[in-house]
Amino acid sequence: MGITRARELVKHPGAELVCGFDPVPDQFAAAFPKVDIADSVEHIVNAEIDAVFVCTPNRFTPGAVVAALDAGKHVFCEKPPGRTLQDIHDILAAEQRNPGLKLKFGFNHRYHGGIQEAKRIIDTGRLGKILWMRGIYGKSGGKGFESEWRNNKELVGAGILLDQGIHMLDLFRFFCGDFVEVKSMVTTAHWDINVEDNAFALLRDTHGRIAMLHSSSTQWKHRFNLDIYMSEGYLTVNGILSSTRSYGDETISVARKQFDEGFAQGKPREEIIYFDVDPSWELEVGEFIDNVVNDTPVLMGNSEQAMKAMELVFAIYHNDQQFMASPSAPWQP
Amino acid sequence: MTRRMKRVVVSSGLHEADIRPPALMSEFKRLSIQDAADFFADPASLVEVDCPACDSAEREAVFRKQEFLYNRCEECGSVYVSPRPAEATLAEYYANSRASRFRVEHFSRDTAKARRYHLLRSHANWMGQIVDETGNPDARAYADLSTHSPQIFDEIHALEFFSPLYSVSPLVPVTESEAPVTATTLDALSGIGAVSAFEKIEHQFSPFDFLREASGVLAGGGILFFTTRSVTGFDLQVLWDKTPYIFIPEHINLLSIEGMTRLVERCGLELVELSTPGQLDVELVLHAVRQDPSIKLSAFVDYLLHHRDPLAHADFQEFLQKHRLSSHVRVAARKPKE
Repeated sequence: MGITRARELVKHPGAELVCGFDPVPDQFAAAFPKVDIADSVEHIVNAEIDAVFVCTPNRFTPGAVVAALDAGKHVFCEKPPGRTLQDIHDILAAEQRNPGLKLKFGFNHRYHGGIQEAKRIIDTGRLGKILWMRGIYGKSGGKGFESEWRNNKELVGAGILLDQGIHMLDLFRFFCGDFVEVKSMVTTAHWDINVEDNAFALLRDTHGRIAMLHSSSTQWKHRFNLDIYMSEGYLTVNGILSSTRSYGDETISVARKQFDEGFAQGKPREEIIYFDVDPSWELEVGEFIDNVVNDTPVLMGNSEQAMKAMELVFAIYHNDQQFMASPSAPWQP
Repeated sequence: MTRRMKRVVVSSGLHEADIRPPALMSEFKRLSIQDAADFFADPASLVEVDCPACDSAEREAVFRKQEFLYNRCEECGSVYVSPRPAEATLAEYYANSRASRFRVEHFSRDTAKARRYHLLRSHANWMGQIVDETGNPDARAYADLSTHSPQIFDEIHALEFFSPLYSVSPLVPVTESEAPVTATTLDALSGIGAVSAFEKIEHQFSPFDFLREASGVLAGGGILFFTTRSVTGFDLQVLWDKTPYIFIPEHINLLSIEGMTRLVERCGLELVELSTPGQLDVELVLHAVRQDPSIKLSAFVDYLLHHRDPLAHADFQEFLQKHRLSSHVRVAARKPKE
């Protein structure tokens, strides 16, 4: 992930990539042969630079972010912001100790074409008010999945919900705002891992709107699907564009509900828009650089949004007492 | 092509007969062909043109219709008539031909309800979405060129996308719309947020001049919308010179997708969307084959049409839309901000 971010930095005319730290330095050096390689995080955060990108496994994230902020550096932090709620609270405390520094979290799904289009349509009000949402985000797993670092509880804190489902929760909040009630069931249904591989949740927001989440690592076929149903029509974002297209084409289907006399009910006129490129990385990094250079507020991926997404993740875990009593429950210090 | 350009797939249960009832279409075609013979009889009045899309002079003759020669551009693949009636002669035709009167008095009015449901409502939503997404938020005026479905203004007005509303040189009186519309001329407008030209490109003497003039009234960031028919669409590729609804002078420019891209870029505009959301290609081929047994289909197309059910046809039509292979094209292009 760090290399993806670094590539965007290199492309941006307002940024200069000065230095990188990677536990596998050869990998970083191969990608950026002209960039210095530091021998520690401390070296980087104390260097003569303006900003740091923290793209580490969850265990190392809060320490690096707090160190960078306390060293007076602006920080872009990959999601999730740590393994526990305490991690995000520690980060927020560091942010408050260092007013004037920018802190942005990498919730890049907000910048995808389908999501941006959905947001635009919803904000116009032309399809009425949101009634409910349903999000499915699942990955296939695969050979060797059990031994991936993303399933090492000590390293990441929890399973698929914290790793990937947090994006869908952030999108729910992007469209609806705060959720105040949570019902959930969480399980390790298939893989021989000690973190969850499936999380199901029903969330209710402050206006009584319900969002339903399924986050899975037993999807077998990668899938991203977000339905947003409104009083006058619906939007469905299908697929999330990636370099390999493993989540399929990214599309948004849009339709108005159609009860007109003389036309088939239950089969409204629907438009499907295809998005051929993923601008999310470029837009997100570009926005962070604008935040730093022009002292603009962080509107997307700010610390409050990151904290609330984390609070939802852990509310979903804690609502299922059976899961919390199981060996798959989230890591605790 | 612009990498961020959109592709769109549409399904609404549209059938050809909804918007082109056979009896009306047949009469309109008969009048058009007769009028063309009258208005364009003098060979000396015809003028040679280069490709109306990419301006290349390289071409090969591909077929004749009503004694007019259709050429295929060797650069972009667009198909166009050359030599063709001069601009003034075409204007005279559209002002005074029986076919033009028939279109206004019967065709447009008799199909108004279906057009409104299947076409105009979606046009209005489409334009609003694009303007919201990439338009100039300070320029909210809208103009439709040579309006022949004034109900487009009712749809736009109901959705409160644009204001004020203008109809440039309307073919059907704007009083047939209940929305507040002003009939005007192009040279009276400037700083417009959006301009639309539905099914106009195919019969312009010069699509380049037409789009340049239309985009000239746009504010920076304003959007030009147009729909037309592409020769790279399935029905035209299959039926080619036997396509029954292609006739002079309604269809003297049948641009390819590549040619349309070039044309928009030549006009100094940025493509926002180039989609082929047509729903009728398969149905048009089926109808054409039933009407004209002399049409020979390739073995695959023949098999697909006659040995697969409507669901397979619908899936195939969706494939055509998804990959910009339908003949019905819609384009949104933005005027750069200065």
